[in-house]
Amino acid sequence: MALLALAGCGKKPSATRTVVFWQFSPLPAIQPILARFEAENPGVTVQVEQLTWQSGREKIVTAIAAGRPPDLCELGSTFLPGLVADSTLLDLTDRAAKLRDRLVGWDITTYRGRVYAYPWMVGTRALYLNDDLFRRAGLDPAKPPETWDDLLRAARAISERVPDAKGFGMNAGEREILFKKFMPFAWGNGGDILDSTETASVMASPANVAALRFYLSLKPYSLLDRQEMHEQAFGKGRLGMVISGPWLLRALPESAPGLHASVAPMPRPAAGRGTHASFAGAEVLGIFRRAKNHSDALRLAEFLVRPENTMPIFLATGNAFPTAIGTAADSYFVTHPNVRVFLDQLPTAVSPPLHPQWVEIEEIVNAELEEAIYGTKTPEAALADADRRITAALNRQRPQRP
Amino acid sequence: MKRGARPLGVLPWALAFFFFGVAPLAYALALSFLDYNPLRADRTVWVGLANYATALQSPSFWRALRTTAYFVVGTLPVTLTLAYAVASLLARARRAETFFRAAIFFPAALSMVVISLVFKSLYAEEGLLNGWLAAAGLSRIHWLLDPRLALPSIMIMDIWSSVGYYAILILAGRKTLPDDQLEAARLEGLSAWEVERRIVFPHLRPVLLFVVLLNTIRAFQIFIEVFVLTRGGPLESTLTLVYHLYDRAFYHFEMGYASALAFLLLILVGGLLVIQRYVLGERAREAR
Amino acid sequence: MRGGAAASGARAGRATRSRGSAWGLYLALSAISLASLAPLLYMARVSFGAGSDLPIAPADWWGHPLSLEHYRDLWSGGPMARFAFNSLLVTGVAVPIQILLAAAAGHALARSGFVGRGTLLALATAFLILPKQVLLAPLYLLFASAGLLDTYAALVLPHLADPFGVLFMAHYYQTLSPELEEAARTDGLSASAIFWRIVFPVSGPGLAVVGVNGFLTTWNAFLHPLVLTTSESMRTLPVGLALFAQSEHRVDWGALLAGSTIATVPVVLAFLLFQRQIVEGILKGSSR
Repeated sequence: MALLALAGCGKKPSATRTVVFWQFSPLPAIQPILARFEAENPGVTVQVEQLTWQSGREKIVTAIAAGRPPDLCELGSTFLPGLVADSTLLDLTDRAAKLRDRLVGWDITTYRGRVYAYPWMVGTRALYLNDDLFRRAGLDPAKPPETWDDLLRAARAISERVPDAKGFGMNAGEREILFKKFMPFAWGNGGDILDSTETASVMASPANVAALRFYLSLKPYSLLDRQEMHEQAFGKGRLGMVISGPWLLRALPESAPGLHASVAPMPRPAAGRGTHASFAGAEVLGIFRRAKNHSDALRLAEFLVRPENTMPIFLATGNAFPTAIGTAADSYFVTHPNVRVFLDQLPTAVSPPLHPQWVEIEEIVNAELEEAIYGTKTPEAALADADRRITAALNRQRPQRP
Repeated sequence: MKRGARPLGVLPWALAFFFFGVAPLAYALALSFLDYNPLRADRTVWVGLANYATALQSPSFWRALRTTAYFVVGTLPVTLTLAYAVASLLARARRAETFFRAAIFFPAALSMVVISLVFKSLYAEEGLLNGWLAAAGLSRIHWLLDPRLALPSIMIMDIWSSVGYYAILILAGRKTLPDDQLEAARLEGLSAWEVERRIVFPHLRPVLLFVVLLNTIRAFQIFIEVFVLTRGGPLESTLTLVYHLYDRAFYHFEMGYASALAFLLLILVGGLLVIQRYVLGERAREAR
Repeated sequence: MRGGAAASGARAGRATRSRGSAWGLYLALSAISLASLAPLLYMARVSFGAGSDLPIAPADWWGHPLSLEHYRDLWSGGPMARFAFNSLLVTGVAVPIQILLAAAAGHALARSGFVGRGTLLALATAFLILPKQVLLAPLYLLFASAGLLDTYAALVLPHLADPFGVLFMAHYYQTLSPELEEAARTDGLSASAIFWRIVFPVSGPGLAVVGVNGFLTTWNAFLHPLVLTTSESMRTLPVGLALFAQSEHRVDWGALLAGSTIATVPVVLAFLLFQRQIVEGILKGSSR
């Protein structure tokens, strides 16, 4: 039986055209949608495969390197820069023109005016509060922290007044996600990694320094651990506030049935100053230049981004929202106010630049942030070093770029 | 005697050995002179020794060597002492020697992934060790998240998992000691301690040196522990050469650079073996 | 080895030693055995618990209800069943082939002279101590260009190159007298008939060592299964477990340690049945 299942990777012996589609959603969520696509496009068969976040990137790169990429592929926005730099993706600029005013998130998939993928779903993070811990610390959970000051005060109150609890979850031990956790504070404060032309580093700007100083001021009241441990501690009622995505909202009722949690937008630097910035990550649909079936892959991509096809995936996975304009009008968000917070958070969420050297830049930012978080460098020194290293990397590569 | 048997019998294995052993080794050497990323195979360039030069100038490379040095200095004395003590105890056991030997040796047969996962759960924020600390009214310890503690935490795990293994090697060495030599020493009226010091220990010298070498070579090759527990962090405090190699090869797809790192590893381990031969003056054991 | 154990027992018996120090010896050995097995007992205990969190206080450890929940979850739909199936399949295919290759090649190396025999032996011996990480990048690229990444072939083939079994069997046959084979040859038996009817049947003890050590290295293999597979459905138990532990949002410790326990059961069985052969393999240089 098992052997049969192994052998049967579903190749249908017929004259139909096949689109190989790799994506991250659970198969039960995506299959009904693909069945509708097949019904709408007779003669086309979709061969779908589910990727995992632990090794999806490796699998995709391996397939390209081996010359056997899928026709259509769901990509995390963080993989996009590397793939664009290696010129592996098909330029979709012309085809995208007709979708322009139907979807949001084009900046995530555009590099130097060319579009390399269709934005499919966008996700962001917001601030989770444990209502009970807020009350025990003498705070009102109905008034979530609006400013940095409020955040610090709340974190401190919870740490000091509730035994065996910490106020805030500060990421440590997984270097690769540090920039996602810190940069929202910098972005909200008007800071950034690269300047608006994406040719120079602005990493050591006063706005970034102020944001990092504030971020580190949370450390005494923070649980320093990996994200998964934050979420576990939050579920156990040992953490007052954690920054996380909508998936936690889905997990909590099962893993922590008695917990009263609410979700609030990210705080901003001060009342009337800065923005409620957060990190935006997107799921995009890309087509590899070396793929076999470009035309049906495009057809499938354009089918998938329709709101009626993306909404069921959002409802099944709960991680990211459809990019289709008008999604917010769905009645689901009226009945789920905590989810609605994420949707409202989206307009002020920022995504990292689609820069061919992003992988290297991200590595530098993460490494220097880690030094600052562990206190082996001052915030100023860490950001100055990051600035110097990013500048060096940009200068080194520029002559070779087309 | 060497006539007429089936030399052809060697062929199936020799082919496998060639294709999955010798040829990849030669390929790795060639790769180490290239700037090669399988995603941009068209941009492959011969760079000569540049990959080696880059590695020798890279802070991560030296950090990885430093990790290895700390690891050897931290584990070797403890592992060796414990293994020696355990072997001496086992050699004295009259009853149930088989049981004790099996129990002590068993971790050596286990998958390093399983060992690492079990220790990851022990070291976790909510894990058993922190549970005990909390129950004793002490504050929790961030075993794997503190740059000063992460490597020692891995060392403790390594000591736990390898004492039995080395104890078995040492025990086997003890058993090659001729009985009459021990008997003669006792008849001379030497105390147990003196027998150990004057007769057993000198006899075990080659085995102990071999254990030292083996532990050092293994320290150069640590990967699974780091992959499962710390991914090289925090602050690269647990970055090992092989983890660095894996990261460059399979995250950044810098196959040429990773191959140069691999050959540096080969040179280091080969150098140790040469030193070992020199120190021992002969082969540590007639293994085959 | 057994004789040595008996002799050391007799030696210890003759030594004058108080009952108290014998008690001390067994107490110490029991304590060491417990320390050696405790993490594994802990692993099994958590895997038979309920809920996905770690039990923290030791008191909870005993009081916590027993449940098969994690094993049921693993069996119904989780990826763990697939990992276990892959591991069984790969081991089940690779180890018998390894045994056959080792017997055939070992016999040929021991009994016949052919061009390149010395070189082959030297290379094989060098590969015993070669850091296998050197081969990762080239193996990956070779399997990628052959279109064999993410297949059972990629999981099995690299194991067949392992030189340990061949060298071990070559040594084993050298210690067997060739008289019987020569007599058979004089009787006109073909080379293959001699191998299958005369040599193979007396190879059991040697092949047991090769088989059980091959089983342990294949079952526990991590690096090449990690880089040569990319789909979750192709992961073996060690790789699947290690990656499962890195899921970004929540670690299900119960499931993880249940999977680890499943990965450990065959090792325990092999160990109980073949401890002597495992030790012999290690003494002869099988890589752990």
